[in-house]
Amino acid sequence: MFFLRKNNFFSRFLASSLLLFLLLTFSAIHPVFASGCVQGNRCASAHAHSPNIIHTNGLVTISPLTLNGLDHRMTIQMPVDVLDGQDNTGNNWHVQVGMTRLANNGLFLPSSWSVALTGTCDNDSFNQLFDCNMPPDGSVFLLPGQSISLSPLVSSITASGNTPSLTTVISVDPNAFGDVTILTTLSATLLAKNTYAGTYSGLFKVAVVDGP
Amino acid sequence: MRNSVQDVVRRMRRGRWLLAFAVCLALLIEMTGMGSVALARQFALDGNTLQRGQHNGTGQPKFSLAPASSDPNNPASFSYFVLNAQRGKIARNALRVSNVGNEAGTVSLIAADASTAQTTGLVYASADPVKHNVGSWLALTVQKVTLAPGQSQLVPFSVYVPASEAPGQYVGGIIAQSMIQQTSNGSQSSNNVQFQVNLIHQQIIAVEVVVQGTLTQQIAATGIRASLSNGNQEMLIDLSNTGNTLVDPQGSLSILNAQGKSILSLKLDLNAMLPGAIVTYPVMIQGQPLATGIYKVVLTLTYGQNHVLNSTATVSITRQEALASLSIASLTSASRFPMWLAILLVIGVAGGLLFVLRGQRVRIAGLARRANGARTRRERR
Repeated sequence: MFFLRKNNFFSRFLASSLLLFLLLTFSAIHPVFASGCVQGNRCASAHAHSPNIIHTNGLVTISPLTLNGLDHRMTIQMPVDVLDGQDNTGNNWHVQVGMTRLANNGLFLPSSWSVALTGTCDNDSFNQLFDCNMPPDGSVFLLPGQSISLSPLVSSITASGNTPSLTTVISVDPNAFGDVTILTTLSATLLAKNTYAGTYSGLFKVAVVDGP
Repeated sequence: MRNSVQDVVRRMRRGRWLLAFAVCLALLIEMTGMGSVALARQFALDGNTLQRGQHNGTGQPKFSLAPASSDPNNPASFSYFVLNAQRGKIARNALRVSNVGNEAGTVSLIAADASTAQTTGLVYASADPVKHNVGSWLALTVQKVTLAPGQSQLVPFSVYVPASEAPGQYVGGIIAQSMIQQTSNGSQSSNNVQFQVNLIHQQIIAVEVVVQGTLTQQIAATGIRASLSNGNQEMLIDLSNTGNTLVDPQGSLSILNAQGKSILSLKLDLNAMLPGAIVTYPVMIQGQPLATGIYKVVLTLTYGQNHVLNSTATVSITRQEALASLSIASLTSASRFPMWLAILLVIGVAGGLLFVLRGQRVRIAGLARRANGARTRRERR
């Protein structure tokens, strides 16, 4: 056959493609089988132990900022650690965030903040949940330590008022379960021409809702 | 001499294998988009390393809220409260608050009303002093709970539905709230921006009260119009829940051109809407922006028990809307490197390399032949 002749570049191309195809196929098989663990032994122990979702408080991280005459991109990160034991109860849960405008004696930082989300699968020894069917719908399977970008329900939130108004950034359906950290990253551009040094204060709110 | 030439040729053959493999790998990575996913994951992991170190450390209270009793026939009642109530009567249940963390902690408990957010979904107003329905009907026996690690406490509560209330589903919630004050720890320099923020953490468990009577499921679309949001075209759908039950509409929005040909179909997955809620739901136009002209928009939503809402509207895209979104789209596409160009580039570079290698091989073979000829001539002499 023409393409199997010795030293033929096309035959090498085919052989390489086949090798890569096999590698990719086998790397994809693991999650496919593992996602079926809903009825498996390891997940059954989680069903027995976890009565409902458990929410752990996380601290807000604000990127440090030193003004140097240039525009800056500022980010605020709000993590929540949620343990959803998939106890066959039809858990729907939602993560909501809100903030007031950061202010310093009549000076303000931007009111519009863009939203990005990351989900990380954590290792929860308490409930023996060692893997995650990730939010929002459980269709993506991750092992502990792995992360994935999630699509937020809104592209931006507005900081306003004296009390933060909450906005739902992700709604999670009953098919998702595991010990996951949802990291909400808010970002805005601080223009050099109207950003001043000083101590800015504000109120942030992060909520995990168990409900319809 | 001959051996060394053959050695060079052999090495080049090995190099071609490597080249073939590299070309395949590059093509596959570009075609499957694995490259960008892998990069995104790497960044995500890097970003989280610091974060998890900060909040997943030891010494944290972890609170869990759950209904003390639930209805085996209603799976939702295991994760939040679903109370069947009669007007003028009191319904009772209890909240189980557990601390499954490894440090003691205190949470405040607050009753709140739920309302429908602009993009659908329910939000709970903890600070609203005036409560209208479930928030005002709900009476908690305890407002603050302090728990040691592993401890749990039952908090009984009652819900009194006024006799004047209409039948239907009403939603409120119990909020378990804690507050932390955080201060940034950067150096106090004259050109530094420092932060001092109060962080409120809330865990909310919904309380759905079903007031007995006739329940109706109905939504209405009162308008569809085009708009611009940050330079992106979007369709705004005015929706109202005219029934007295919660709904989670799902469906699609199809856009047809003047000839009646479908040019875009977008999937819609709305969140919960309370009875009486009126929202303007934004649907972003994905892909190529719509050009100036008149379009027919067909909205199909399913909700409740096999209910379907069909609504059709004529929408005009103004020149301003088309131009504004087009400039954004062209900016976006100009900033991205097209995949087909990347593939062509990879093939081109690979072809060029092969051509050069082939030329070298022919030249080396020629040199080898000349060397052989010279040796033969020397031997003859």
